[in-house]
Amino acid sequence: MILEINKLDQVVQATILPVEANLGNAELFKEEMIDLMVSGARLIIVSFENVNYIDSSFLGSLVVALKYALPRKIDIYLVALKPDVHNLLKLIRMDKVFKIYEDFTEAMENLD
Amino acid sequence: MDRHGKSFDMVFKCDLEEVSNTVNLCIAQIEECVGEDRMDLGIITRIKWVVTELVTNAIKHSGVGECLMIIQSNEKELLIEKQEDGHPLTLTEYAIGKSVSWPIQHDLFPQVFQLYHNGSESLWVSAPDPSRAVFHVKELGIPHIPELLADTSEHFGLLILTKASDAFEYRREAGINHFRSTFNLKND
Repeated sequence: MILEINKLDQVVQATILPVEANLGNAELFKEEMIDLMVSGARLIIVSFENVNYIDSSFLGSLVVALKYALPRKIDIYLVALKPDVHNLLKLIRMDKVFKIYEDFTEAMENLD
Repeated sequence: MDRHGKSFDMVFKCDLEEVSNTVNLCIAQIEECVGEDRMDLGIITRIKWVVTELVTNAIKHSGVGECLMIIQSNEKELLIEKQEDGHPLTLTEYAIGKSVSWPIQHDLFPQVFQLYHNGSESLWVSAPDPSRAVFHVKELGIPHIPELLADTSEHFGLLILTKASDAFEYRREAGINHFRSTFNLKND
């Protein structure tokens, strides 16, 4: 398991456990995200609170998950991004693709 | 850059478990080689992204067990070059889906083509001669979701290398792949 899950009805809070989100766990992350969506999640709030570093492979899995989600009317929010992680998303403009919030509380206040 | 400045070489294993150690070792050597006073936090972060992507690229695509990382610096710039004798660079031309491998078999140079785009920007490569590939990014404007996502690639390695570096290029010489990232340094 790469995600620690807390389900609140159809909203899932998913905390990434490893400190490095990289090629080594990108595929597992994608599988667990898709499993959550298949199981009925309508919104997955992914917390990066433990993640110090993210690489291109993990970013690719994030995008694949969002591409799976949106046609099914499922949303994915990102929260608790550390500066290096947030800056890498900004570098490749993924901050325009994902909804990003400070933490779970702020994300829950901004449900569509 | 001629080897007139400071430099060091490091062999690293193409092993996923070793990525963190390799990156940390490179950063420590670069800080010692260049001097922390000539690198702000922003450039150190960008260097960390580049070294990580170079190592990850080697693990995913080279097909070899070890690579050589060469770091060189002078008053103006820092060069980070990864060398290995693995598979040559092969990219897919976005417009027609055709694969291109280096050295390029073509009569006319320079060749310029688009690799992929992420909705608001696109990654291009120019080949000034058969053995080189020089990467650059073009701004495209800002479409919105869902068009932006539909148009977004999930391949970010070369994009990160290009955008985090001040210049990024590849060349294939005598069966060796050279991936070179250049950073401009602060001048006092």
